[in-house]
Amino acid sequence: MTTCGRYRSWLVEALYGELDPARRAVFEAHLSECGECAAMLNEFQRTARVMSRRQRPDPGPEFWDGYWNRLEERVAREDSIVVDASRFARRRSLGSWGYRVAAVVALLAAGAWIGRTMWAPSPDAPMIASTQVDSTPGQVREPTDDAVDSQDVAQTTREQAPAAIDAPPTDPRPRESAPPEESGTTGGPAVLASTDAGRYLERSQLLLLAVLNGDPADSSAFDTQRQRAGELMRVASSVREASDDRRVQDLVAQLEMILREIAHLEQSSDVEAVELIRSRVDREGVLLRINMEQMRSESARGAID
Amino acid sequence: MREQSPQLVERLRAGEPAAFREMVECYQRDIYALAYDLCGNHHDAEDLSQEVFIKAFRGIGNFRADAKLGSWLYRIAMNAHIDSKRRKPVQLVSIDAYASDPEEPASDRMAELAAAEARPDQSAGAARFQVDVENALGVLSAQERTVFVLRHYHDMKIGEISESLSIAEGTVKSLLFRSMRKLRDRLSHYRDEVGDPA
Repeated sequence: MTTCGRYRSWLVEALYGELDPARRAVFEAHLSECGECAAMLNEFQRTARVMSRRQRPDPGPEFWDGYWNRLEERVAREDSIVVDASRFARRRSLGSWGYRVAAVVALLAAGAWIGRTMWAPSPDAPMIASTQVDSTPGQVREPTDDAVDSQDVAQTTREQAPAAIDAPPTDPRPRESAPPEESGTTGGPAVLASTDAGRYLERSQLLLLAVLNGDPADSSAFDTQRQRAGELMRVASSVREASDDRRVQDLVAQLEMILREIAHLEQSSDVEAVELIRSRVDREGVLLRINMEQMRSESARGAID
Repeated sequence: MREQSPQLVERLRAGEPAAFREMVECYQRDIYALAYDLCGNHHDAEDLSQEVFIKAFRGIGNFRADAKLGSWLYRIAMNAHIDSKRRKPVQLVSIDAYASDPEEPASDRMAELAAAEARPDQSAGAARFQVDVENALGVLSAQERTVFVLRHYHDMKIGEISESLSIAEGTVKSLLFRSMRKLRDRLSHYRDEVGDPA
């Protein structure tokens, strides 16, 4: 029995015919002497035959016909979750940035107030001192300058604050002058002013998902989507011109045509027209192409980082 | 297992959507079959097979051009299955439990059983056999099951399994031995039916 341990490790190889001839001869010699190992091999062989009778059911032609579409939908769904998560993360990051800026402003204001109340010259101080101080501009200023100081700090801080969450990186307009943005999946005018291909694709992807999965009865959402499709369609040529990547240019051109169809839909309840758009998006693998572009650009960014 | 055309990998690396679809259509049956063997039910098998393609799609940059695409997909499937099993405990299906509560939603396996029973060519006994075999496989750990199905149903050699899973050959043999022993114990009543090997 003490030698059986070695042969047991050969059992599975023997079972599946993987023992080389030399070891096989040794193993068979052992089996002829050891009833226990021989019995175990016999049991394993019969168990293997039982397992070979197992049948794997075929899910049928309908399953295979729809396999690609279901996979594509899952990719789009997972990526939209990633997009939402990254937007939430950006928002959180901006939020914490905002708190830091606010804290700095508060600290500066408190410092200024302490400086003025604790170390300001008292009214009883000799006149000569006041004169000397006044004659040194910048050291002590008139109380009326306090408000100006605070405004300066606040203004400077505002200017240093990061751009709005959805504002394009290249948008030079100050936040205050930018038109108000809309939340949701369709994006806002500030984005549409950008020719950044990545953001354009992201916006188009979200719009397509909103249109294809939207509630046909929700006419107000549909009107907004149609309007956004029109806006995206109008800037498509600028995005194409701004990009030097042929693949992106082709994809934007492809999107432009689909966006045009959406923009010209009469009403959301035109199920047939929406279905045509949906089948076109599926057939041309538009969402998948957008995903691939996004991943490609993320990989490129990762390589640069 | 099918193998890819030489240009497919290059087209995949170039990010061509049609190439991704081609890959899926080429391997979906093999990967689904492996996923079914690993999971034991249709729903999880489809889920795992989709996960394999999504991971492949996202990780195509890591694929060595000289490697076999099919083997790479297999490797993704095995690792994804083992990972998912770490997160999710094994669930056994009991015919008695199902029979005692017919209002309970049927699991995939039970649905398969019902479907099998509805087929005129398959008796209730045969359907029960399928359930027993699936349950016996369900007793194996994720690693044991993975090694067993690869060797037994997908004809991979012990050395290939070792390489694919990045574990020692001795470990593969040990896992295979333990799997056979557990299956033997669970399926003893069927063993007598098949008789002695020739």
